[in-house]
Amino acid sequence: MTTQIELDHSGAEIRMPRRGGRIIHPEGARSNRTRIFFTIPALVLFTTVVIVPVFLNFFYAGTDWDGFAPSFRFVGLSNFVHAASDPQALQALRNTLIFTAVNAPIQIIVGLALALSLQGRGRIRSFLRVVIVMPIAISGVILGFIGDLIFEPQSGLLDGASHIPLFGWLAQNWLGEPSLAMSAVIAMNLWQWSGFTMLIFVAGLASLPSDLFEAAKIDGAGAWQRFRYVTWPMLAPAVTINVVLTVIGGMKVFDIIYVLTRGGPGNSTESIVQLVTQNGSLGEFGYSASISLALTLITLAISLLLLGALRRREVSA
Amino acid sequence: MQPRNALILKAAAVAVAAAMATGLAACSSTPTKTGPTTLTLVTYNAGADQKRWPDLVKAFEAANPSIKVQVQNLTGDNNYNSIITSRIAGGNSPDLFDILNGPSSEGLFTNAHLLTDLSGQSWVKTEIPAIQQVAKSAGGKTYQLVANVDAAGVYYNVDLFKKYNVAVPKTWAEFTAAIQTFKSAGVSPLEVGGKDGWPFVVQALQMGAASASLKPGGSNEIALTSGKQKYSASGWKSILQTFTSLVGSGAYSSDVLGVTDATAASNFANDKAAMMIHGTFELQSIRTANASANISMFPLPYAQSSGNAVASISMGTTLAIPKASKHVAAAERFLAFLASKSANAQFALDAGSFPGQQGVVVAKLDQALTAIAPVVEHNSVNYGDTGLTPTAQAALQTGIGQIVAGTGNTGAILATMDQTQTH
Repeated sequence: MTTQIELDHSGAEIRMPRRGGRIIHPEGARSNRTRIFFTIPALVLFTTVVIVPVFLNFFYAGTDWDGFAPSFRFVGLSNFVHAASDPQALQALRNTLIFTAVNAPIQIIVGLALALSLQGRGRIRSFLRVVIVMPIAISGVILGFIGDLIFEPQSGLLDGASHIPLFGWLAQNWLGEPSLAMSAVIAMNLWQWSGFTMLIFVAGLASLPSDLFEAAKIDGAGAWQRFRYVTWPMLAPAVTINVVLTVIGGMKVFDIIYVLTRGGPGNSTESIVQLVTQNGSLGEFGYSASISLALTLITLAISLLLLGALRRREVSA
Repeated sequence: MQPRNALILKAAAVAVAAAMATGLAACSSTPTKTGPTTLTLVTYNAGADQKRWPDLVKAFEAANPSIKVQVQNLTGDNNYNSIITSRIAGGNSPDLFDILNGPSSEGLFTNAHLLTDLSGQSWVKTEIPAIQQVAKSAGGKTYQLVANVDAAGVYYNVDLFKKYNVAVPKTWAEFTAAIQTFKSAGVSPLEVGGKDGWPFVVQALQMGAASASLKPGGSNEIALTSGKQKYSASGWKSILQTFTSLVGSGAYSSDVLGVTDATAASNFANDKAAMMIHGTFELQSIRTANASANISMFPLPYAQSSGNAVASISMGTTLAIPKASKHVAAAERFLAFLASKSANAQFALDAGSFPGQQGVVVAKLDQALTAIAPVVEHNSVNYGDTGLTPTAQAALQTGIGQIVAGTGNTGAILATMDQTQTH
């Protein structure tokens, strides 16, 4: 072990021991032990409640366990084979992908527009940002009930508004028409999560160096040109985060769909996670575990592809 | 770091750890038992359906001062069974619980050996025949007390029937003709909570119970539940085709799939629809929406000839005792009390249904149920035993929703139901 000489805050010399190229700070070693000590309870809880069930899920996916009986059989990959040919599972996957593919771009565009409109200081802007973000704090279940009050065909808010001149088109069977139900679900989801997307963009915008914009103005760039050639490329990291998070959120959507439409009409809005919970409660625990595992792998694959493509964009920007 | 700060930090860490240990110990400690035994009874009754418990609990506690009953209401959705099994496995078992969907879910618990065998209880032999048939279907053992039975039929608005000169239908042809009469008059013929899905299943099960090829306890039922016969080669095919023709004839309103069961009950109660195919368990919701609604009920005339009305019934409140209960003896006393004539009659009255025990007379039966009461007593069929497993029933519910939405066809739905038999 060698020593390295450092100076403290008063300029006095301190001899710091080195081992293997690393400086050993005696006080730092004690701080590390304290930090670890305080994280252990949370780590134990997280492992017990999250990590262990995830691995148990992998295990049960290869069984025919009904969730009730003490015994079960290993069935290998037959649950996965069944899921690949199950019309209900395929429809649920289709619905989930449609929801994600439609919701994600709209949520990002809306979030970006809100961020650009409300960036900067000012009481009114701060107040509006808070109002837009507030739905995040509301659970998806409550939002589903609110959506019920809005879209109820005979006594909902939209039905009432349809009596106003020029708004007759609002009198639709929003929750009972397969072609409209998904739109209603996406609308409620956008209301809840656009604020979150906006927050990330606001943080990204705040970190942009102002001298670039000044230089662009001096060069005669208009607002659109500044956005296109300065703001948008520099926001690449924020875009990456938002895209990945909205896609993951879309793939695991459940509560708002379950409360708003119960997966109907027919099964036109049924999501994969809803199918997982339904099968689990009907005594098909092994099958539902296999579907949830398949969903995890699909989401992981999509996320990694997006991450790779967007990271390359960040580098080129 | 200064030695004093390090000492403070260590003391704080020890204090936090001690607090957590105390909290965990409190969570896991068994409270000292003092006072009367408290039975926990878990149900899935919501809203007006919860009214069936207070009178019963009060009467039981008066007759059994050493036992208290605490009723806990959960939502009767897909999570209900999971919550019950979690509580049983977690050492927090209820002493009694209402089996969701009665016999169709009972198998899940009995196959896992979670329920107390009640076959030796005195009230088993005095249950009405349709309920005793359920035990025969379950290998001759009884694991639950069926406190009341709900009849299913067609509620109808007496005033609207008089106004449009429509007689109470006794055949399927008369029923479809009545639908067309109301539709032509601009009155919604059939009100259904399509958004919730299960009200359509109530209708389908009535058809199944009345259908000659799906009689409960018969070879068809056992063949279907065991997978020996396919749903696509059973009476369920014609039932789904009937749904398709009902949808095509405009029997349901265009926004039916956006209407919840609660809204449907309110609409029917307030004269916005002529008929509503449902069970007697819906009566309380209808009366809550309009206590003076002039309504009555007739059996759904599916597959019957005129004059041979068959009422389909379903098991109502179905109470079981988990083996893991800490108060099995007290829970059995509660069931015996509920099966006694006076308590059973009061419970049936509060639940707006019919008693599960023989020889029980319900005084002050709701006017809506008086017409169908004789049919329930003399010519009823249990619609819960029509060969549907829980997964097949779920597939049926989804399939009917697809038919109503115009996105499904009978063949594909039956194929999905068949798949549930092989997986």
